[in-house]
Parts: sequence; C-alpha cells; structure tokens
Amino acid sequence: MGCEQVRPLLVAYLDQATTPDETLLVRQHLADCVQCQQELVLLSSLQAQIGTTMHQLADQANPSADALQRLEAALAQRTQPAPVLPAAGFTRLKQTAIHLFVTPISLGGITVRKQPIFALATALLIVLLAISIFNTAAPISAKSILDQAYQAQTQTVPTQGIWHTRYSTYFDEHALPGNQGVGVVNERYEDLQTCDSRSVTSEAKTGKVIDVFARVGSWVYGPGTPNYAVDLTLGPLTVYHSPDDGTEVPCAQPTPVTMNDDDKAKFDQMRADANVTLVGQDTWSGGRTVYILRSPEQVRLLTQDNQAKLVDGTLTLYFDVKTYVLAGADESIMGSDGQPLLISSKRTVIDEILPSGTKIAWDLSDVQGINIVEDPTGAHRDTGARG
Amino acid sequence: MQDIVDLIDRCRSGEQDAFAALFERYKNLVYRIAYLTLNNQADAEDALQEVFIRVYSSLANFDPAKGAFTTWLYRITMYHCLNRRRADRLEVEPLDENVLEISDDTLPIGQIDLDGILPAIDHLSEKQRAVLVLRYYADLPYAEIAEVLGIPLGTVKSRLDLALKTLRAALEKPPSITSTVPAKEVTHGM
Repeated sequence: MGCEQVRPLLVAYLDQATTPDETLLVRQHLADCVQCQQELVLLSSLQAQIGTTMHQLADQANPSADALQRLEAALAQRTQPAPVLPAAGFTRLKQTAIHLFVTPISLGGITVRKQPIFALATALLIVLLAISIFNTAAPISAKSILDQAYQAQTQTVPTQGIWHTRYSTYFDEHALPGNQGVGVVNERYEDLQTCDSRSVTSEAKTGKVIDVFARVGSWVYGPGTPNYAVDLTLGPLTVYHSPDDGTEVPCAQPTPVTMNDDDKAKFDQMRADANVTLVGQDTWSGGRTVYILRSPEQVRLLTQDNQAKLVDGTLTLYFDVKTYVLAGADESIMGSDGQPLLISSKRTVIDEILPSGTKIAWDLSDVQGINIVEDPTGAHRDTGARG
Repeated sequence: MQDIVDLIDRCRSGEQDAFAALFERYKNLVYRIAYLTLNNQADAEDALQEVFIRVYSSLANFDPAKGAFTTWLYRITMYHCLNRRRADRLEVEPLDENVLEISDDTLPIGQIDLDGILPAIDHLSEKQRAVLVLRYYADLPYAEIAEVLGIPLGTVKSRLDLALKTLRAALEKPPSITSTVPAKEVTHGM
C-alpha cells in the first residue's frame, strides 16, 4: 500500500476509527515510511489543537441569562395567532411610493434604470411621509429602505396551513457561454399541523428528479442516502417507503425566514454601497412580485484550472414587495459578447401558505421518474437529513 | 441514565418544572455545539430556542430504548444548525465527499502555524465544522456522528479527513482567494 492509499486513512487511524484490516495496513506502511510518520505527527498535533481551541471557545460561550424565560414565552406564544407584520402601514406606504416612481421591468426584457439620485429622492419622500404619519424616528436616508428590508428577514411565518416553497438555483462559476451552468429546482410542501412534508429536487432544464424526501405520518420516502449529483445519465431514482424509527426529528416547525451568511454579506455590502440602484419590479413565474436592487460587485469566478479570481460584475437582490423578505440574489458579469452573463442565481420563487386541507400528493405518487420500493423493515430508511 | 429517563417522563406528563430542569441541564451543551458549528453567538441563541421548542414538541416520540437522549439532542441541534436557513436548502457547496481538491502533493510536510487555527476553522463550511465539533469537542465516535448527521460512516471519515486537510492547507499558507475549494456540486438540505 502506497502513501496515496494510506494518507486518507491517517485521520481515522488517529481516531481509532479504521477497520482492523486498515489498521494493519497503515501500521505496516508507517513502519517503512518516514514521510507518513511525519504526516501522522502533524495531523495528531492538529487534532489536539482543534480540540483545545474548541473547548476554549466553548468555555467562554454561554447562553443569555433570560434564555429559559424567552423559551417559555415562545412556547406560550405558539398557541397564539401568528403575529402581524410590524409597521404594516409604513410598508404599504413605501410600496405605494415606489410604485409611483419606479418603472417595472420584465426578465429578459429591457431594463429601465432610474438614476441613483431619483431613487434617493424617492427614499427621502417615503421616509418623510412615514415620519409625518407615524411620528417614528426612522433615519432619513436611502439606507432606511434596505434597513426596513433587513428587519423583514426576521418575520415569522404562520403556524397553520401548508407551507409551499419553490427554490431555484443556477451556478456557472466558470462563466461558460450560453447558460451552460447547473440549475436545479426544489419544491417543498409542509403541513404545519400534521407535519407531513414532501420535497422534490429536479434538474432545472430537463425536470429530471435528482432527490426526494417525504414524511407521511410515521412513514418516510427517500433514496436512503441523499443524492446530490446532477447526473442526467442515471436511470430513475429508487425511493424507499420505510417506517420512521421514532428518533427522527418528527416535524419541521415553521421557522423565521432568514438570510444565510452569504446573503447577509451581500445584503450588508449593498446597504453600504452608495451606488445601489432600485431598478424596478418583476413578477416571477410562480406569481411572486419582487423589487429589484442592483449594485456593483466583485464576482468570484473559477478559471479552467479551478483557481478563483474576482471580476467586476453586478449584484442583484430581490425583495418580496409584500413582506420585504429577501427573495433572491443574482450575480452576473459582462460576457465576452457584450451581453450580461449570469454566474449565480438563488431565488425563492414561491413562498406561500396554502389553506389547510389543500390536496397534496404527500406519497410522491404524482412524481415522474422515480421508482418507489416498499421497505417494511426500514433497512433503507432515509433519515431526511441532508447535512 | 435513569434520572434522565425519569426527567423525560416527567416532561411528558406535562410538568413545566421538569422541562425547565431539562433545559437547564442541556442548555450549555446545545448552545456551545451550535455556537461552534454556526460560529455566531446570535445564531447560537436562536438555535438554542429552536432546538428546545422542537424538543418540547417531539419529546413524546423519543424512545430511550433506541438511543441516548444526548444523541437525539445532538441530532436535533445539528439538524437545526445545518438547515436553519431556508435559503440554504438549495445551494452549491464545496464538494466535500469523494473528490479531494487539496492534494497531499501540494502540502510539503513541515511546520504549521497552529496559532492561526481559529481563523482557519472559521473558513470551513458548516458541514465540515459540524463533523469537527462532534468529533473533537463532543468526542463522539464516528458511528454516532454518522447517526447524528444522518450520513454514511464513510462520509464521516472522508469529511473529517477533508476538514483536517483544509485546515492544514490554510495553516501552511495564509488563506487567500485562490485557496478556496474550487469544485462544486449541487446539494440541498431539508
């Protein structure tokens, strides 16, 4: 066994997680290989330092003193009606003002941009009107619009009905011409009362099902292990219908719609950018209407040898016109043909609550391109975890 | 073991004091696991709340015969941490299984700067931090990590191996834009 076979086993070997055969092979190799001996020492010191560092960090981290009180309040609130969005009047006022001053655009159509000074004037007017009506202390700046949107990211969602979401993503970090990137769509339904749920992920262009998971009562549907590969040459996906084992997280509770770290960074970047432009509105295929804000951005691309480089480009963020929740983020650059080239796109195309009782095929019976196999013993049970 | 089973039984019977006791006993564990995984105290606070809300609503389904309470708790915690952001359900992430972009050939054996380990850990993906936290903070065996994360044992091995290689690469030379893992695959969480 050579170094290239032994190196991937060294971490597990140090953690005493290799099989007896692997352990024997590693020991035999180490006996004659000084380089791998040195590597083992280095990895061992690295492991020790990771443990020490994490324990030092954790020892300094404690939950807030009122954590229990907040938990009890949250549990009590779960029986109350869903909260009303704050500052609803302010939100409506802003929407009205923006409708008055901003020209809508359509995807693939001609983009009509307003000058930044016009957007600033719009923002000032909005805030002044809001102050006069609500006597709030909102700061008078264009930033206040984005700040309002930022606050909206923490709004809670209703606790009844069926939560329906559709996410689409597209990535072409090699900036290949002609939209050669990889796009996928995930559609998910979740009954907020019965906890039944289903999630189907498909390749965007062909609709080929890549991965599914569903929970119906005490049974689950899934391929056993998550399938992440977008391989259009593969046959139909085998999906097992298995009993849940009771230790699974039984119900995904409604969670606040929040931005991830990457989105936060982009959002903060845009909030800090004096050149941000409110471009207009768009209505997506799922019916969601969004505001479109754009600002310059250094877009990360990959070279042919997979090295990263930064290129001048554009960041576009989309905000739901009703809730101001961040609905999507696109990054684009100017292609060699002079046309905008989409590098990445993440959009929550649909985020809606359907009425309780809406008919949903929780058992995936309407999904084409999968083979459902009965697994009464649970030997192939899918945990649903996609970590 | 028996005392936690008794405590859970009391929680199931609706004793608020028992649930408060359960929270007090495990709040630091959950908070610190979340903090180390999410690398953010505000997110850890949110995680603590969400995890115990789920514990509260799911405790009836916990079966002590099928595993330890802490394993179940780790699972809920990691489930939340890795899936807490709905926008993350569908994203392109660094390929961290099967394909290793960080070649051993590029990493000459020598001294590494262990003082820089904290920022290097910060640069890891949440999935990689998750396995590191469960292994080197919680001290879980590989099999339990696999159970907590719902991933195959081999994935635990490869993910830990890649996480350490990534850390080592970062410590060999200062992190830069060119040191990011280039290959991508499409994945989504639940």
